[in-house]
Amino acid sequence: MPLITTQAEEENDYSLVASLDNVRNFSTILKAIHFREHATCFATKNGIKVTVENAKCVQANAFIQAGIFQEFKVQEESVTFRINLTVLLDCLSIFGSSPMPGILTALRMCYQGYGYPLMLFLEEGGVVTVCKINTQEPEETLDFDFCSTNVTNKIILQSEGLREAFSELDMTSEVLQITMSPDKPYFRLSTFGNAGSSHLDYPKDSDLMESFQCNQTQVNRYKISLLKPSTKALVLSCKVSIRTDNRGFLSLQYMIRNEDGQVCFVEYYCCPDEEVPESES
Amino acid sequence: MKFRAKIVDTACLNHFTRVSNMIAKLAKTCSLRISPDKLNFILSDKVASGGVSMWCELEQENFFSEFQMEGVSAENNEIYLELTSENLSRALKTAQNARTLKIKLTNKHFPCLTVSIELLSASNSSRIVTHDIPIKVIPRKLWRDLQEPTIPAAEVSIYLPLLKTMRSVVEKMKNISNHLIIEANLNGQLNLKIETELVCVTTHFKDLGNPPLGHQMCQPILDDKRCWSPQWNRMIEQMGFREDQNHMLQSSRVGVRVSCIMGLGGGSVGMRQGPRNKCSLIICVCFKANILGPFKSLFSLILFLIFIYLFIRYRQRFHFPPKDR
Repeated sequence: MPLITTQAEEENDYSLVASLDNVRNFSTILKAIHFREHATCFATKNGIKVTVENAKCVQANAFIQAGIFQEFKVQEESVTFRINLTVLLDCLSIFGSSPMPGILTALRMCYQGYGYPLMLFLEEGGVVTVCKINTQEPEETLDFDFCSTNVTNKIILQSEGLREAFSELDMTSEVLQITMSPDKPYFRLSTFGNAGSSHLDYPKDSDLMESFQCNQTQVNRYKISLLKPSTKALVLSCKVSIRTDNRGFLSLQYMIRNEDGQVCFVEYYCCPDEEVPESES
Repeated sequence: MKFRAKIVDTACLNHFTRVSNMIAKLAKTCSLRISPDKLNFILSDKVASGGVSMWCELEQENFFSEFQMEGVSAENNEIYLELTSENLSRALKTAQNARTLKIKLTNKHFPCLTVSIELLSASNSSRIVTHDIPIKVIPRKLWRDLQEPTIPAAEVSIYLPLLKTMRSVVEKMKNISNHLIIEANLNGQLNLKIETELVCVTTHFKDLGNPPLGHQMCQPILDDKRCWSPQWNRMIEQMGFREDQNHMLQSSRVGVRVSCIMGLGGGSVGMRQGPRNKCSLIICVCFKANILGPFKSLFSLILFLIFIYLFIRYRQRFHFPPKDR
């Protein structure tokens, strides 16, 4: 009880207050980018962006827009902190990660500002859990400078088309080669492993292909170990947009529908592994 | 010394298998006490000021369709054995879809517990698998180390919340910290807490109710919904953890220091009235207060988790506590 009264009094002191009836709408999205221990969170009045990076080559962003939350208040222009994502996810799923029908876990999240811990209040069936997660100095995140005007090729696929391909990637191959082209083979995933190379082609007129806009042939290689974690997001998503820009940078955008039918996006950026001679540029 | 028993019923067999699996997870070796109406699996950890002991009681008639035994002597009609618990659980693994299971005490160069399992096969011919589990017969002079543990008097006793919730909470906390702090008071409040450099997590349970202190706890609340979640009325599990655990209690109206918090078990009806409830089972796990530091408490926490996990499974299997008839 005393907890809740102090909470009300200090409401205005918090630079970030967010509450949510179903914590899973938040935790599922975070799970999609959970491939490193730490994440950087940026909150603005539009929502929260959580960023995870690896090897300065890959970056995953989860966007949880303000509309997902029942209450969302940000006092400052933007609030930034770094947090241990593993611990955060353990806390969010403290009442169990598999849902029991009819029982929802509610979440209230408060952050007082720089140097303060992130407070989580979780409630399920009258049981309350209070978590105080210490925040860390935010690190500068990478800017991939991926601009939609520079996009050369773009494909939107239904995720199920890619899911199997990604879960069965030949992990003995160091790279995944993605070919996107206005002519045959249109869209091809290739691996070069110990057992030989494999190519997987998606025809342009496949049912899985929602949109196909390729302007020039691009062949790029990406470290398979960096792309593999994106499978987590792929599994949860319903659609995926695959884009490459003129430098060969890859952007994967996943559309994830939560239990309440709202749509969230998770985005992966990845640098190409090496320069492959191309016809132009 | 003779012992021979038979299980025919599949439910009893599965139940017996699960009990043995649980014991195998808890300890490498355990003692088995056979008496005319009970089987007891006993763990008594004699590690100084720590360790876990367990007392698991199976009413013979709830499991076995045939049961014959002859103890060491007429006045001491009991048998005490020591066996590697994994051997038993491994032997019972083959008994999953068995028609019958026979257990007997044999002497084949060395004393054995022989488990023979009659299996069904696709063609109507049945097969018999026999396991000989080497055992040690425990001499009479050591029997008194293996008596039912006395449960220390409790200062605070509380009914536990829904085990499913509690298990999930403890499981997640285990991922983060090696120590769990348990706080409880006589107002029906229970806190589970971890404190690390990274994070402090506290789960508050309230309105749990406290069983009456003392030994006159024989009032089952049958129409109370909570009866379906375990009613913990035996003061068994002692988990006094750290000295600094009491600030919540100080702020509450009852300023009792927690030395012993929880009882493990179930509603008194479900546990005691064996014949009405097909498979009754009593398990006590005693944890000594944690003075030894991280290793002990980690160990007991894991055991505690295993116990809770197994208990939930058993409880569902039991239809426990029994339906009111």
